[in-house]
Amino acid sequence: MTSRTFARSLVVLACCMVATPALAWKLAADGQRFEHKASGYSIQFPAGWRYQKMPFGDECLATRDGPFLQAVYVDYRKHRKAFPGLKKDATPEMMPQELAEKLVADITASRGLQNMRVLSDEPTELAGLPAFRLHLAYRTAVDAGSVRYEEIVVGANSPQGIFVVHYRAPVLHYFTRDLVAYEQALSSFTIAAPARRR
Amino acid sequence: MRALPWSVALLLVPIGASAAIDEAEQRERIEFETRALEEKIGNSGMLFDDPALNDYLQGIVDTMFPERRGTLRVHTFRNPEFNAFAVATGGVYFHTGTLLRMEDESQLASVLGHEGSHVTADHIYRSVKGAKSTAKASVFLGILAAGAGLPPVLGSIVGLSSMAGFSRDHEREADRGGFDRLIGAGYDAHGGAEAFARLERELKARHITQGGFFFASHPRVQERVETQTEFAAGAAAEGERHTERYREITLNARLDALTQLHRAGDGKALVFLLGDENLLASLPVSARYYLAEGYRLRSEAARKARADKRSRDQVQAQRDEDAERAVAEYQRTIEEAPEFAPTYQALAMHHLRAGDKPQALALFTRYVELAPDPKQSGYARQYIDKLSKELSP
Repeated sequence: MTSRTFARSLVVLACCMVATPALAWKLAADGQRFEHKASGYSIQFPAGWRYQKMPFGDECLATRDGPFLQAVYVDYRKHRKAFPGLKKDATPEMMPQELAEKLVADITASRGLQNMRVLSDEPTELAGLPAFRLHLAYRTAVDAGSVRYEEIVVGANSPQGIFVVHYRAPVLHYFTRDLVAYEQALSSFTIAAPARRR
Repeated sequence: MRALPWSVALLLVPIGASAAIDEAEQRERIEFETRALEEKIGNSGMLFDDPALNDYLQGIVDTMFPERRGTLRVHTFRNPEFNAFAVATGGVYFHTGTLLRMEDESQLASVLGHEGSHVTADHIYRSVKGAKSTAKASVFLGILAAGAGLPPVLGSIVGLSSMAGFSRDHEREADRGGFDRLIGAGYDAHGGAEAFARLERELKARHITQGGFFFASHPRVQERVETQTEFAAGAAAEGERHTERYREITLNARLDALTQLHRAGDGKALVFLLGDENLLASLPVSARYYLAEGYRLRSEAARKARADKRSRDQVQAQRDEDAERAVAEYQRTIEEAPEFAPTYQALAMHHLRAGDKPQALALFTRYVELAPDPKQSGYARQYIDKLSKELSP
């Protein structure tokens, strides 16, 4: 998510939440998976959380108490312009380690998080694909109160694009509490063949 | 280098819009806002926590400004770019990236002297006073500056503060004041000219015309080099440089700036600083790994021919050359720093991409021997398993 997209998303989110909260967010229920037809992924967001497909970028975000307090979101990126902060493309051949390296640089550049630390970068699997798992720590901008956040980023490459499942929350109170819900959502993540355009 | 009087910007609108405020009240407002902003910086997680380094920097400032001992306070800011700034309450913020680009204490002291002189010459208050009639224009310029690549993590603070950059006269005054302090403290007179000459070369090499770099959008870097050279020519004997002391105490901060540039994927900056400017000489031998990585990253990034008016063939030739240099530098790093683990993994990845699986397997294996922590070596272990199966008869 680029800082511009992030900022625009927040503005739209804020407007939606104030004006039409009930219409903008859907309630996640057991057995009711979110399906992204263009890429073929689906995920079961935690029951009781609200989710919404973001108006900008190809992301779907779920939260229980509000996007600033905890957010699980899936970020689908086509290879072309996959790293907008770096102005670079990805390729279907990129290995998880390379993807992780580029994504860290992209997040640093696009969100301006020069105080970000990579706590761990390990191989894992996502929907049966070789994947990376990053654990990041950072503080928000000074104007936003320098709040300490942690973020887990799990991503995998596929012939159609890159799938990235994020979880971010403030360290204080929220991150550890809602990590379990994220892990459950992550384990429910599947990728089917994308729907073909007619 | 210009100071960043944040309070100036924040006070511009009220000052422009309200009735006249007496000097004492203006100063009080400036100090109040600046203290609040310094508190925010303190909580931002962006200060580099190295007490020995902070003591060292503070010691230099105290030597250069003995009458200001206790009121001019130096902090190290964790940012890989060339920058330093001062605030109204006497805080001087110095980027780790600036330390990376300096070679000795005289260069460092020239920048500290300049920043300290902004404070001692009262430029912040004088700028506020002179900015009354241009408040609205300044706010507009500030918004532009905020969008021009200044560290977003500092939000509007830095953006707004840059607009309140000092006038040419103030900058010259700080140049002169800083130089006099440099000489007064017994440092070599050429430090300032050398520091700014490197900045000028870097701006050209990285095609930077605007952004977070001081004076990147300014035509004055060249002028500053000339001024500093002129000052130095008039100075008497050679002074102190304290090169070894500088290198030793600033090492952790310089390495941190280097790893930040690396993590940001800035191959151009790594090659410029470590290769073209030969700053490698001031770092441990294992730092050559970052030069190799710089070539690799630059090779991967050099995709758009139109960016610097080169032809597609020229860009391709540069990519190939950079990729070869990366391999040569990895190999040299292994020779010079055989216990430094990351080089083995990077070179293994190169061989893996090139299809040389036996070589990749040998290098991944060596990497895991040197970096046994599973958190560091997870990918390598995975590759070892995969390659071992593929290569087994």
